This record gives sequence, structure tokens and C-alpha cells, in this order.
Amino acid sequence: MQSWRRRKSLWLILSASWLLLVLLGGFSLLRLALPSRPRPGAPQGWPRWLDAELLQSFSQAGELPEDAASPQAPHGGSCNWGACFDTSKCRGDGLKVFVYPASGPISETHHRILASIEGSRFHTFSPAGACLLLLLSLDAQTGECSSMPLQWNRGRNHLVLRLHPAPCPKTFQLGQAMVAEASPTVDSFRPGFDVALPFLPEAHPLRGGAPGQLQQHSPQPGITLLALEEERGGWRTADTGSSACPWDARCEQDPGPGQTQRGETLPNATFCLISGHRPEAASRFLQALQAGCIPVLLSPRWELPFSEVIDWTKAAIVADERLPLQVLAALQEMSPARVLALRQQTQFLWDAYFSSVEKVIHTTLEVIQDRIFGTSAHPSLLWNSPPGALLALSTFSTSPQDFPFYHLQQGSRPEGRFSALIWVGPPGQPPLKLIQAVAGSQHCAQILVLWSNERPLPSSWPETAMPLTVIDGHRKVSDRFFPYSTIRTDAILSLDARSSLSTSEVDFAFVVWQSFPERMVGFLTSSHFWDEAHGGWGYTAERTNEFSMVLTTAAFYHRYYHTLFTHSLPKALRTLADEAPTCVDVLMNFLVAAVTKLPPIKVPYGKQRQEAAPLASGGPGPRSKPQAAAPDCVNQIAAAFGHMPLLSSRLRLDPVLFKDPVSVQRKKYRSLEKP
Amino acid sequence: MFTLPQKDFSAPTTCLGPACMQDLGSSHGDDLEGECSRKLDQKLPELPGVGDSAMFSPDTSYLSSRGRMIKWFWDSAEEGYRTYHMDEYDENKNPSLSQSDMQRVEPSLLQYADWRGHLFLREEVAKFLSFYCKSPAPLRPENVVVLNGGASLFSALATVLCEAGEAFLIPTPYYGAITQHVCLYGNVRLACVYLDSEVTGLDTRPFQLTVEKLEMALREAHSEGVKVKGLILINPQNPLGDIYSPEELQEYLVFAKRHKLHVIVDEVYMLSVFEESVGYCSVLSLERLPDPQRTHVMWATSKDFGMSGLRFGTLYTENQDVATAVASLCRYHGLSGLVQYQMAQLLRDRDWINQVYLPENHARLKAAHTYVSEELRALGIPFLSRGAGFFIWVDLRKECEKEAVCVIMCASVKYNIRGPALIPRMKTKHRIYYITLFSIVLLGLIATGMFQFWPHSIESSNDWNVEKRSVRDVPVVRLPADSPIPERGDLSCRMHTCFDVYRCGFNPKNKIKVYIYALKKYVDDFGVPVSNTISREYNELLTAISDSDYYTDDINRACLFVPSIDVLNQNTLRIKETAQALAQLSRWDRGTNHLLFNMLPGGPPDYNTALDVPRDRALLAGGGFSTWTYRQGYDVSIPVYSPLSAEVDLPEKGPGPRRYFLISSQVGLHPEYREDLEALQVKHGESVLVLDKCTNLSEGGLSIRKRCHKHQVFDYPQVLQEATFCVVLRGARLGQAILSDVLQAGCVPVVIADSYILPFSEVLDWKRASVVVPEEKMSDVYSILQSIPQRQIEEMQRQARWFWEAYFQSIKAIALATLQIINDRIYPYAAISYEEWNDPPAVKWGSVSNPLFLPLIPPQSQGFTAIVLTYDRVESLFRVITEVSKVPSLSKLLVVWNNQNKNPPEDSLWPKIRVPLKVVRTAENKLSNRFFPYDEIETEAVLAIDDDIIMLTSDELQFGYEVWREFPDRLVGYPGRLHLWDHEMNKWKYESEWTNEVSMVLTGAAFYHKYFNYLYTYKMPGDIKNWVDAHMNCEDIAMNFLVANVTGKAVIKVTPRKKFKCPECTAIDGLSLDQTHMVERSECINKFASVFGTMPLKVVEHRADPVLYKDDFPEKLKSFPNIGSL
Repeated sequence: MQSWRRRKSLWLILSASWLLLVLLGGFSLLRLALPSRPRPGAPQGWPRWLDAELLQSFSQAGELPEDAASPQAPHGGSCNWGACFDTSKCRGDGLKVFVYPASGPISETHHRILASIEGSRFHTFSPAGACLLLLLSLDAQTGECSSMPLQWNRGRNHLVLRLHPAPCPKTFQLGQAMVAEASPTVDSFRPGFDVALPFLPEAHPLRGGAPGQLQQHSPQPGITLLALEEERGGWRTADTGSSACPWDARCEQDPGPGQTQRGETLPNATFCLISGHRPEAASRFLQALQAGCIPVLLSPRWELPFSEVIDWTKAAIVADERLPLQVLAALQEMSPARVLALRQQTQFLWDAYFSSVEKVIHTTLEVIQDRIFGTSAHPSLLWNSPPGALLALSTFSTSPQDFPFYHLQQGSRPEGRFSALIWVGPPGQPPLKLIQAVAGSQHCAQILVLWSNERPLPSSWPETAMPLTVIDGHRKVSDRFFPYSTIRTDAILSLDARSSLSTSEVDFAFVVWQSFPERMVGFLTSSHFWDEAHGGWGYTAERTNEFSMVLTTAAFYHRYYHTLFTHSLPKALRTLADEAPTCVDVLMNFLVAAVTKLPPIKVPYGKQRQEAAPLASGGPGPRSKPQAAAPDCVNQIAAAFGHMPLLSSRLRLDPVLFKDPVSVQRKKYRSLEKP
Repeated sequence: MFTLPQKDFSAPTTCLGPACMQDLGSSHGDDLEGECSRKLDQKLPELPGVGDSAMFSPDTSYLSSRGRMIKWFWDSAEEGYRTYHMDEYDENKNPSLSQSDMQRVEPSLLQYADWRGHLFLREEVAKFLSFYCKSPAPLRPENVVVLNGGASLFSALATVLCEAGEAFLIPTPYYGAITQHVCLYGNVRLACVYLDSEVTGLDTRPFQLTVEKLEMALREAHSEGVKVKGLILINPQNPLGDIYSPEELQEYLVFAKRHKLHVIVDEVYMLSVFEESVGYCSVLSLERLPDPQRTHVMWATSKDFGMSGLRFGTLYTENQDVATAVASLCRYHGLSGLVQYQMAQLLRDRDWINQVYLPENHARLKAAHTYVSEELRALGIPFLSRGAGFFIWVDLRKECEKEAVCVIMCASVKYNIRGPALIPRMKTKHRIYYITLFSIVLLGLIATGMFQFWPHSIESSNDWNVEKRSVRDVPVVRLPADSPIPERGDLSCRMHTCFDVYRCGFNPKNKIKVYIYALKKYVDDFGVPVSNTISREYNELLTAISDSDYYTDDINRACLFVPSIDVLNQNTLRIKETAQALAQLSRWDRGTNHLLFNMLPGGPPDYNTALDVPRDRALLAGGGFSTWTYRQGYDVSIPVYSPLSAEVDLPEKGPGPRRYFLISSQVGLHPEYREDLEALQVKHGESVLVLDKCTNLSEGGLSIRKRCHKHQVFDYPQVLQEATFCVVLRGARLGQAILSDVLQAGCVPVVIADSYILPFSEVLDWKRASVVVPEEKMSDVYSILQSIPQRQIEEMQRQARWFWEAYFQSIKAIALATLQIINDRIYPYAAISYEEWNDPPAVKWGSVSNPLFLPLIPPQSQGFTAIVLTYDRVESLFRVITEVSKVPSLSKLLVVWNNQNKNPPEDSLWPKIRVPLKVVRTAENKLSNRFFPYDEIETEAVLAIDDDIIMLTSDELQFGYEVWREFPDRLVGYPGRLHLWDHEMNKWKYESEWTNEVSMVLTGAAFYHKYFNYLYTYKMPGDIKNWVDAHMNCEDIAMNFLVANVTGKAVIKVTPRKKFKCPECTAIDGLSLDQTHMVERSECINKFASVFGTMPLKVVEHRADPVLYKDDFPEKLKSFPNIGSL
């Protein structure tokens, strides 16, 4: 009985399992038997088609090349570069700009801006010879709006420059004129044709301008993450935590007492949040840039300034305002490396393109010139890394490795040879000893003698293995820094006929220059200082514990500075140098310091000669009044630059074993130490 | 001939193998892969010539029973080896990866060595395993024993760990040869741990090993009276290719410890993990082993290096008894001195292994693996594979029909129905089938130059099948004539107005998700198709998207939708109906977040420059935008794909002068343009070539690939490689496929098409690769081009080719670049930079981007933080603190207390100084602690100083800080050092003599930017950080390498050379100058140079001194009078 029951239950279980098996198995068999069809709604990957090979191509073989052509340009409602700008006038020496003179009384600012353009290398006085005609419209407050100028020609090749937003109603049809205006809206902006300017505050300095506020590379550990713009032109910093507070209206009404700090004019935070709607947001953008606070723009409806050439992704973050939490999280998680890079880029851009009205105008013209130049325009690298496109002229070269600034980025090295350029001034003795000393250097490639002297050229020159070229100069001091095409090396050793150097000194100085190709490496120095008594800059050539200039009567520097000196300095400054020859040194030092933002480098110079040397501070000019003329130069040049670029250094670079207590035989530059 | 013993039929759930000596009668072969119980009554393979079947009979009288069995193993293995030998090394067909510097005989190598192996080899092994197993602490050479291969090792371990008849646990399926390894000498058997081939219970994958299963197997073995002494784990598993996670490993080890079991971890496939993603972890990488005395790790070169002929295996165990016992057996299994030398050479060559061997080996393994899986997939055979080892686990049960369980199926595998299983003999036809199949599989694996078998079988899964369908079968959708039509494109659309970014939500990976609609065929009311279903290119495009990381098959998670309605070519479309088809897509919603790809827009007569199909807000990736139709920042301009790219192989041609200066190869040009071009040709003669269609060619099909000038015939596109510049003129459409051909040929395109938006112009810098000339300037083209310097032309040629390779060459490249652009708009903070888009790989490699690129002199007021690393020299430390505190610019002092065994002195004992002093205690005595970016560091400048540098004066330190301010991106330090190339030894050498050059400064006293602390701690390449901590040396050299590498700049040595430590020290600066120290430091330089892949250090000949240093000047007027004395 028991066993029967057990058997029965066993049977039951068995038959149940069979039933189950048939049900399940049959079902799956059925599924196997039927070809699988895509079930609607079920997630499927994109299938591999069995017959993919048989599919036709999207175009017939003949079709691609066989389009019938119709060459008429399409016509739309607006202009673009190819259709509305005539580049035929711009051949030759690049962009020439004619500025319409102001009609009627104008403001002081307007006047100064005009003067600034007139002093620049772009300017021409003849409207006929100009490639670009510039119409300045900025006196909004006076209610005076420029009227249609004479050579208007439907606006062709015209640029309407509006430094401040929307001053005039459209008094005349813009036609084919380009518009450069502050923060244009993305909808009206014509990319590649119009130019987007920054929104400049009324009191923006004309030239020079305040330097960036960034004092240090990386943010302080305790610094707040985010600064928010306030209604009345200030900033408040907020401890954001993890909430979406900054985007939430309620938050603004109740800021925690310890959390916010109100009313700062320049934000002290890592990121500055700028929501793109209000027009003044654009001015906040510039403030943030100056402060080294990384701008975080939430869906700006305006075009970022100079977006045609500036890669804003390296300096700012443009994010979608609709995803606040995401943006906040991204900021919080941003790597220190990225923050560091962004902050530095804000400062570079501020200093290079935005800190003064003059820079903004020059950048605008440079952008247009790049369009005209086409392939010989600035490469993106030149625009987006120091010192920036205003200081790296594309007329010099379009290959970054020709400049002294980009060797690292390009993975290249400065050349291993230099050209000695010897300036022979009024006394007019051929510098025989000097030529021999320089020619003895293993790095010397050529010697150039710049004869700037009333006397006739001597017929014979010393015998050297080095190629020697004599250039007959124009008797002007600024000739010394003319980019002669005969200079074939990157490095120039600039010398005065009365300088005296040893081969050893030259060799060592050149090796040092190779490590710092963008700086000047010199032997003798002078300094500037702030003279409280006179309320101006002072100048001294006395030996002190620090220096800010090296004398160009014996200095190594890159040949690019000749180009920059001749083509980018305002004419007035070069005239100043010609009139007061002692200034030429100062001017060159100003120029290099303004470009590099670094002090020059001093290398050791033989002691004895140093005392006896006629190589006085003033360079080639008459020795009688160098000390008197120099301070004046410093002040004049500083005024023209708009700021004081010179920086002081307290160090000198010596050979590694210089005066070390070790056998002289072990030292490479032993003659540097001879008494 | 054989009858199975009854007990095998009633197969127990354990498969305790027979102790091999006793059960010889019933023990017969299987494949190399193992099996615990002998349940197969299959005949031994009767392959002619393999072994001698006549010899194989149970009553062979020459051999003992043990000998017979041993001989049988020989026969059964021979077949595999034969196949293996058929695919020998061949210079061209089957090249092997090896280097030639290993052949060397030194007399000492010919002598008896330590049985464990020469010390030099064991040291190398220890270093090698430390590195590749990522051990938390360096492994010790005394725990290493080397012998001739993994087989000997198993056999030796079995012999020394077990008594005869005892057993090891082993999860099944497993590598069958282990049965003989442990049995032949040691007479040890295996007790199987059964794994389920299906996911059941808590398991998450087939054949998952769990502690429960281990416990069960152990119990069952005990119940059978078998004593289990250990557990064998193979990781990565052979033959499943499975990988144990660290957590799992830990569990198994704990289980073993609980039962006092030895664990033999066989990691012989450790370096054959070709899928990074599987996350393989060696047991040696565990932070702590539960029972280190019973854990024995083995590794050999036969698999990972394919050097099965060299015979090398190694055991790593902390148990000295076991190590010694095994070493003792090495008298029979040891390695010859020559092999030991060669092995050491091989293991030392980490560069070659990392950069050459492993990548290539993994690539080959992967290729073979992919080949086999694809074959299997094509045959519809389910299989299981992981990203490691040489195996693919195949389920052939279905192939063997219902009654037959294939020979390769291990009866030991537990099936759904437990209990007696009938295993009938296999039919001949099944065997043939099996052998055929097997050969296919084998073929693939042979490609790796190695061999393995894989028997057994597993469950099928529907997921393993890739869907295959025919385009003809797609469902048909009828579009009623009055179904809605989207509005025309909205020209004012921008990402922030027309794009619904909420759909993209927050994605931690910053990657948009793209959904592709299922393919359908659209017909109108009359059943007439709206368009061709899908073109080859569009299918390719959708396939590329579905294979990419962007793809999702979940419509609800998608951020971007791609219709499968092919609108690449407007000519083939019915505009209105296509628009209707778009409008009825399930998530259309006015086209929001929909992406359409179109390459040929417009149609006669006016050829619009954007797709004419009304599409409302949909994004358009179009191949011929003009400034009038392109919505900046919304649409994407893409290339017109040239089908020639796939057909024609134009190898890259180096830049340089070419035969023609300017070529025009377009056909069907407007007569006006052609006239202009021909005028150019007349004017400039030979250097300009204007080509046209060939009229006299008979075969029409070929004419696409031919171009003619008068009667001269040229091959197209090959002729483009003969030209420096190639004209790309507008046709009826702005976008021309020829642009792609031109770029491919490395010819600089001269684009003459006003208002054309060049492909991907949002991210690509076309100025670097092309010349754009306005149409009205066409006659000046020649002079414009001539004004471009040769160097720039070469640059442009390289750039053009790079653009083609990266973004034009395939439909896939076009699709992915388009998605990347859209992705960058949505996640702008994670966007790809200009350099990444535009710089060719060669430039990316050569350039240095200094992280501190802004020329900035930090204000002096900020001061610096001094970090003193100390262990226990308190007296000296206090002196250093006192000295440093005198420096005016010091703003904080941080003492890093690196001694865990001793507390720092009490607060009251520390010197009283004017700046805050903080003591940081560290968790471990590591040298890297000195370079940790502590929160306490508030200044940018950091002075690292040792606790025994007492001779630096306050003037020197202050001057050093001021020098640093002028060079904030460099290491500014006092003691300088140099690296030199040793031509004799062909490697780098460390130099501390009085030299005229310097390339490093010691961080025993150096200023640097605190950012470098962050870099050192988080971004140090390779294993340098661990290496430094393990060797307790060279942290300063590592820092010098790091800084020089990221900045590309040299160090600055400040002040003259002098003593830094103590006045009495005889050495120049007290640093130990003995020979070993120098050798170690040289070693460091070589090691770091190999990790960095280059020598980043820069040599300079200068140092920094104060301006008036040693000048004839009154000392009291000098700012830093106290410099350099001593």
C-alpha cells in the first residue's frame, strides 16, 4: 500500500514533469522552427543584413562627377566674405585702412581712438589706396550718429566699428558693409564677415590697460568655486555645495550669511557664472577674464568676441543653461590640470586682446587682415598662445617654429648658429679685434657690419674665415634693428664697434640664449626704478643688485625682434629713438619685455674691461649725456606703451663651475674667470 | 576491448578520479583536457602513424602497469602535438616575436647553480611578477623557485604537499593534463568541483565557482574517504577562459584557509588576457593573502610567451619549507644555466614586452579569437568565450543530435537533470561532423602559433546569435496621401532653442546616446515605394553608429534619433512622401533631436544647398551647405563620401615636389570654368594639367577611373598624387566627392566654391590643409598658389592626408566625427580640443604643452612652504628647521613624519619659529610622501628639503626662492647632477662629478611649483611611483623626469657647488658616493627613460648666481652676501 502510494506519487510527478517538458520544450521548438522576425517594440540592434553586399550605392557611379554646373553665385539676403568684399585692392603690403575723419565736434575718446589708428601700421591717408574703409561710430551719448560717408559705394569694403553697443538706429542702409560691434546676437551675426567685439565699459583704457589680476597660477586651496553676477554690477561668491542654488530664484532671496560675499567688483573665485540673457552679461564676461576667473557662460545668445580666431574652449566654458546640475557637477569634478590651463588662458587673452581699446581695434583689423591673407594668415596657434597674434606678426612667417615663442609646442629647437651684427657709429673705426673675437666662436655663422658713419667705407677688412657682409646704413640709430634680409640665422648678436668681448663670453652667452630664445641675453645691464621725488620713472646704469634692461650694444636676441621693432612699433617711438639715440636700447628692452612679460638675462662679463670699457650705458650716442637723456626716454616710452612692461631680475647666469674651487682645467669657460 | 566498470555507470556526483596506480585497467584516455572520472568508453583515436596501436594493449609485457599508463598518456597527447608541429615558425607566414640579444654563454653559467635557480634569475622573476601581478609590495627573490615548466611544477607540488592517494580539489572543466601531472609521480588524484553550465540560483554566469560548491565537493570527497589536501585554481581558467574577480579569489582563499587546504594558483595565462575590460587580477595583487603559507602561485612562459620549448616555470610561495622541498626536486627538473640567463634577459626587457610583444600578441590572439567566434556564429553553434586565454568553449550537443552526447562533452558536467546519464557510443557520422568542426576551430587557434584543445560543452543562449535578416523582408508601411508633413526647416534653429537637451540628461561618461529606428519600407497609397529602401553607404553609416559607444537600443534613453530613412541622395527621393515618412516616426515631435544625413542635396534646376525634404527642427548633417543654408552651431557640414576611397588604395606619398603644380580632374565643369582653367594651362604650360572625361574609351564602366587630356589617358585618382595642388570647383552642388579623393592623394585642395561650408569646418582648421580662392579670382589662382612657401605646402600636404585618414576615408569615420561634434556641443566641458581634432599624430607626439605656460612672476609676498621629510633624525631636523625659519620669505613649515613606529617629539620640544609649523604623519614610510599635494600647502612655491641639509644659508635659500619666482615652471635646486650616455654599455649613466653641465637638481633642497606635487602623485606615468617606493630611492630623479617631461625645460641650479650636509663630511655634499649608489641611480635613469619612452631631461651649462656674485663690489652692498662659502 505504502509502496503503491509512493509509486503513484512518483508517476504523478513524472507525468507532471513530462507535461511541463512538452509545454516548455514544445514552445521553444516552435520558436526554433519559425524564422525569427523582429518583434515590434522589442529592443534590437541595427541588424546585419544578409544581403548588404547587394545594396546599391547612394549615388550612381557617373552621378558624382556628372553634375551639370551653373556658376551663378546664389543670392541670399545677407553678405559673406567672398561675395561682398573685394580683395583686389589689398594686394601688396596687406591691409591698408582709411578712417573717415569725424564730422563735427567729437569727444576726447573719439579723438584719441582716431589718433591711435592713425599711428598704427595699417593706416593710410588715401581713401583710394585703402583696402578697408573704416567708419567709427561710437559717440552714442552725444546723439551724433555718423551720416553716410562719401565713398560709401553701397558699403563695399567698409567696416562699421561700433565699440559700444547699439548707439545709433540704422540711419543708413549697411548694405555690404561689415559690422564690428560688441556682443552681436547670434542671429544677426554673419560668421566670417562681421566681427564680434567685446563689450567695453565706458572707462576702458585706451592703451596699455590694467594687467590681468591673476597673481598665481593655481587657485588657492580655500578659494570659492563659483562667483555669480549681481544686479548692480558686482559679484557675489557662493558656496555652491551640491545644490542647484545659483540657478534657483529662491536662493537669491535668502543667501546664507556665511556663504556669500557681496559686491565685489572683481570676482575672486575659480569660475564665474554668467547667464547669457541680459546685455550686460557681456561686460561681466570681460571682468571675469581680467580677474582670471574662468567664465562659465550659460547659453549665451551673443557671439563671443573674436570667435573667428580665438578658441574660447581653452578659456571659457559654454554650457547649456537647461542642465544646471550637470554643469555644476562638471565644474566640481574638473581636473586641476584643466582649471590651471583655463585660468592661464583667460589671462593671456585678456592681456593680448582685450585690456585696452587700442588692442581691441588692432585685433579687429588683424582679423580682417587674416581673411585677406588667406593661406598666409596667422595659424591658430599664434592666435591662441602667448604672446598672441598682435605680437606674432604673420608677415614675418606663418611657420610657428620661425618665431622664438613656440619651440616647445612645435617640438623644435632654436638654431645652433648666430649672426653678429656690428654697428659702426660716428668714430668709424673698423672693429678689428671685435671681429676676430666673434669670428672665433664656434657658433658664429656670419658677420654683418652696419656702417652708419659719415666716413667712407674702408677698403679692406680683416681676414676671417667667416663670411663678412658690409651694409651701408642710413645713419639712423633705428637702422640697427632693421630686419635685413642678409641676416640668415635666428639668433643675432648685436654689437657696437666699441664693444669688447672675448670668444669665451660669446660662446657661453649664446649657449644660454639657446635655452631662452625669446629673451634678450646681454652682458651689461641697467635698471629702471620709480622715482618718488619726481613722480616718474628713473633710470640708472650703475651696478646694482638687480637690473631690468640689457644693453643692446652687446646682446643676443632673436631676429624676429627686428621685424617687430620696425613694423609694429608706432612711428612716433621710432622717431624718438632716432632723435635721442640713447633711447634705442630702452625701446628695444621695452618691446621685448612687453612681448615676453619676462626680464632679460645677464651673463658674466670680464671684470677688468667692465671698469675700463668705453661701453657706457647709452650705447652708440655721444657719451656726454646718457644719464640725462635716459630717464626721459623711459618716461616717454612708458607713456606710449601705456604701462611699464619692464621687469627686474636679481640673478645672473654663470657657467656651472664658475669660480668654483676646482681645477681650471676642468672648466669649459675658463677664460671667463681670468682676472 | 574496454568495458566500463559498473561504478562508472552509476556515476556519482563527485568524480573523484581513480588513484592512477590502482585503476590502471580502466583508466584510458581523454584528450589533453581533463576529466576526473573515466566514463567514456570511446575508442582511442585510430589515427595511422600515431603511436603504435599494436603496442598498446593491456598485456604489454615490457612495461609495468604504471608504465603502461604512462605510455598511454604519450599516445593520447601526440595528436595535438602533431598539429602543432605542422604550423611551425616561419619568418613570413608565422613570424615569432623574439629578440636576438639572448644568446650568450658565460663560463659561470656552465657550473652547478643553486637548485632554486640562479639568484639573478630569481631576482628578475621577482621583479617581473611584482610588476605584472601588480603586487602591493615587491616580491622577494627568496620565495621564487624556477624549474622546467608548469607540468614539473604541478608534479613537484603534488609530491611534496600530498601523501599518495590524497587529492586536490579542482573546479571542472579543467585542463586535463593536470591529471597526469599530479598522478604520474605523486600518485595524487583530483576531486572535481562541479560547476553548472547554466546560471542557476545565485550565480551570475555559467560555470561560476562558489564557496558552496567547494564545500559540497569537499564534503563529498570526505564521504568517500578521500583526504583532500589542496585546491587548484587556474586563473585565467583553462579551458573556459574565465577570470576570477579579486573578491571571488579572496572567498576561495578564505575557504581554503578554513579547511587548512593548500591553494595552487596557476596563472600561466596571466599575460594572455587580451581584453583589457575583463579586469584580470593576479592573486599576488591582493592586499593580504588569508593564508600566505599555504598559497602557491605558479607561472610559466609556455603560454604567455609561446615559449613552450624553452621549458621555464616558476613557483612563488612564502612557505620556505615548500620552496625548499620543490627546489630539492629541481635536481631533476632544474633549468640549465644558459636557459636561466636567457630567461633573465627576456624578463628584464620590460620595454620590449610592454611595447612590442604584448600588444602584438594580444592583437593576434584577439584576431584568432574573433575569427573562430565568427565562424561559430556563422554555423549557429553556441559558444562561450571570455577575453582571456586561448579558448572558446563550444556547445556541440545540438549538433550531435538528441541521443548522442558528444565525445567532448564531459559527463562530469552537471546537467539540469541530475542522476544516471546514458552515454551511448558515438556514431561515426557524428564523429566526422565533430572532427570537421573541430578542425575549423583549431585552424583559427593555430594562427596564434600555439595550441589548445577544448572539449566539453555548454548551454546555448539566444543572446549569442547576432540577428541576420534580409533587406527584402522589412515591414512595409503605407503612407496615406493626407498624412501630416513636417514644416520646412527652421533656419533660426540653434542648439539652445530647437534641441531638447533634457533628453541627454546627466551622463557620467559625457556621451550622448543615439537610437536608430527600425528599417521599414514606405509606400504610398498606390503601393509605389517612396524611395530605395536603404543604400549601402547609409547601411554602413547606421552600422557604424550601432557599433559605437553612442548607440543605445532603448528609445527612452536616447538623446539623438537617427531615422533609418535614407536621405543621403535627394535624387532618389520623393520629397513629400519622405517628409511624411519622417513625420510618422514614433518620437518625431517636430523633428526635435533627430539627425538626418544627406550628402547630395537639392535637385535640378536650382540645386538647393540643403536637403529639400521638409524636416522642421531636425538637425541636418549635410554635404554641401552654403553660408545661406547652414545653421551655424546646429547643422553639421559633412563630406560627400567618395566611393573610390574604398576601391582605390593610394599609399601615402611623402610631401615634396610633384610633377604637376596644379591639376583639375573634375568632369562636367561649367564651360566658363573650363575656359578659365584652360587659359591657365596655356599660360603656364606643363605645370598645369586640366583633365576631362575620356570620350574615346570603349568601356563605359571604366571611364570613371580614367581622365584624359587631349589623347593622353590618365588613371584617376592616381594622377592626383602627381600634383601639388588640385582644384576642387563647385559643380551644380557645392559639395564635391572629389575633395575626398584629393585629400587622399595628399594633394592640397584649392577650393573654388564661394560660400561653401567646408566639411566639419566647425572643428577642422581648413587653413592648414587647403587654399580657398574666390570664384572671381580664378584667373589669379596660379600666382596665389605660387606665393605659398614650399615648407607650408608640405605641411598642408601632410595635413590634407591626415584629414582624409581621420575624417574622410570611410563612412564610419564620417559618422563618428559627426556624432563627436554634436556630443561636444552638448557636453562642452568634455569637448575634444582643437589640437586633438587637427594635429596629426606626429605633431601630437613631438610637442610639449607646458602646464604653466603663462609667463607670470608670482608676487614675493606670497612666500614659500618648506616641506621637510624626516624619519628619525630629530636633532638634525631641528637644526634644519631653525635654519630655514630664518629665511624672510618662508611662510609655513611642514614636517612630513615618515616614521610609523615612533611618535614625533612633543610640541614643546620643537624649535620656536615665527611661521606656522605643521607636522603631517604618514601611513607608510614611502618616499613619495614628500611629494604629496597636502592641503596645508597654501603657497605656490614649495621648498623640498631633507632633514640633514644644514649647510644652506638663509641668503642662499632666499635667493633660491627669488630665482624660482623668475622660473616658476622649473625645478630650482642646489645640488646639481647630470645624466650621460654610456657608449660602452649603451645606456644612461648617473653622474655627480664636477661637470660643466647639469640636467637634474636633487630634491634634497629644491624649490618647485606645488602643481608638480599633484602631477607626481596622480599623473606619474607607468609604475614609477611604486618603483620608487619599493626601492626607497630615486624619488628626486623621478621628479626631475616628470617636470622636464611636462614642461620641456631644463632645471635651474642655483649658487656654486658646496657642501650641504655637514662640515666634517669628506664627500662633496655628504651624499654617499659609493659604487652601488651610483649604479642604483643609473638604473633609475634607465628605468624611467624606458617608462617615459624618451629621455626628457635637458642639459644646460649655466647656473644662477646673484647679479653681483664674486664681482668686485663692496660685500655689504650686495643683497645676498652669504652665498657659496664652504
